[in-house]
Amino acid sequence: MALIAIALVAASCSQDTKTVDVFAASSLTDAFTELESRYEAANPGIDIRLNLAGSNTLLRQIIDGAPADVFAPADAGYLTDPDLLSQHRQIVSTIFAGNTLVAIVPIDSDLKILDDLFQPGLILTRCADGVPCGVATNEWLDSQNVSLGQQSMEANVRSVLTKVRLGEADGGFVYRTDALAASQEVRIIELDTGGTASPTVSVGIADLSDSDGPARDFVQFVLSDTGAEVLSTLGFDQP
Amino acid sequence: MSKWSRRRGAQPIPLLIRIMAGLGLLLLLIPLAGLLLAAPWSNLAELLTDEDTLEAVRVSLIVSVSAAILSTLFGVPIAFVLARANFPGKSLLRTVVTVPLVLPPVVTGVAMLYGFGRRGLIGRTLGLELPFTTVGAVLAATIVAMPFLVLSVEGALRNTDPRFEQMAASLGARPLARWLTVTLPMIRPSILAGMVLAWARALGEFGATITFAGNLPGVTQTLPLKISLAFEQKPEQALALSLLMLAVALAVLVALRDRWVPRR
Repeated sequence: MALIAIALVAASCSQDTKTVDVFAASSLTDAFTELESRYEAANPGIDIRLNLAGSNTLLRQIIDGAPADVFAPADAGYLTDPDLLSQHRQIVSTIFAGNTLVAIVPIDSDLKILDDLFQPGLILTRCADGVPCGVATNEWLDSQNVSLGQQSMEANVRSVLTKVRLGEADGGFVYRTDALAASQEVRIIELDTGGTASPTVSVGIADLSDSDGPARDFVQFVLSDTGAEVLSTLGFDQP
Repeated sequence: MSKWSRRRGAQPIPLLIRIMAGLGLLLLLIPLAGLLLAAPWSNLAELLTDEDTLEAVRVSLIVSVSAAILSTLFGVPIAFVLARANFPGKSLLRTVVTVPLVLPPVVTGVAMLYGFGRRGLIGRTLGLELPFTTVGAVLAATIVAMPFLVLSVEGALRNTDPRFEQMAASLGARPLARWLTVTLPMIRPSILAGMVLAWARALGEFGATITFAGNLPGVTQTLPLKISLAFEQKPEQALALSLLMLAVALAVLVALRDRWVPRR
């Protein structure tokens, strides 16, 4: 019993290091991994701990009591969720980047233009209904008045990407930044045909720690020029 | 009082051991109690009969029953080889058979993509398209469920008396006929128990299925996949479906209570 207690304590805090739990959307995987290592290099006493998943999974975890210091969903709309607001009344959220929904196909695919994706018999992957990229996909499909064939509803944008990357799915819908992260393996097909603009989302971030500590400092770092530079390198739009 | 009395001649159980056992039991019971308390009892029927749910139930039944049948067709022969044959590499075979028991199912799913995926080892060669199909979901469930059947049947075979088979042989029965008419009937209860366990494991399968077969409503979206997604959008539906799975699990264990842990 005592041994277990010691093990738990040792695992949860090594001496003098402050941990900041950052809950970030799957689509921010590369951006926040890079921001984490830059921030930790500049602030040796701080350990940024990333929890990467679909935005609605993260929101659910936070509402159910997960100890998040920072929340960065793929769609800033998730920061105004009523359950979240009732828990964190002081929440201040900032939109720090934009992202664009695109279609992707395996790099060697015969599918060239958007219309090719509406052929019958294809296997397409996309985010599930409640995930930000799934909501964006639904809105785009509605606006185009088209329907797709069989679609695998994935829990987050990165599993959509993986299945197209491996060539197991014929195509999928992800954010441009996800597609760029695998540009050797997937080809982008833009969705801005027929006179409509590509669907976009605003990426937001909020400090949930309610104190003037390292969490707030990390959020400031994400919003800084260095943060903006990291994000634009990865293909995020200006906010 | 008599129900709680100790077996004759048994020593009293020390208090510390009773306390630890009680704590362990609480660890198992508290989540179940939480589930039962949070469950949306008032509109349970409505939540369990909407069209999406019934579709997931249908896919789950097709996938789990098919997986139990495939596990039996392949698993009983594997168990027979493990119990009766002697050859080099037998322990390796047993490891291969049991590895899905300990491997995280998501790893099984990833491995299946590289093996059976359309750009994987077999798929590429044979032009198979298994991922994102019901057949793919059945294969994933079979791989994780078969070890339960193999272990159950192998254990039973080891406990049968080989003299029955020898006697049948001495009476002129050919090997396959001997196997079908003498060996199989002797282990029938264990085969049935193994099938039910394999079916239950297949019914609960999540990781390998979502990784290899994706999450296509009506095709590969089984109940556990539906629960996982619903939990983030409609938690009360996830709770209702969880209750359904719990009821099935309890029914299986009650049906198997003498098989899983032999009662003395």
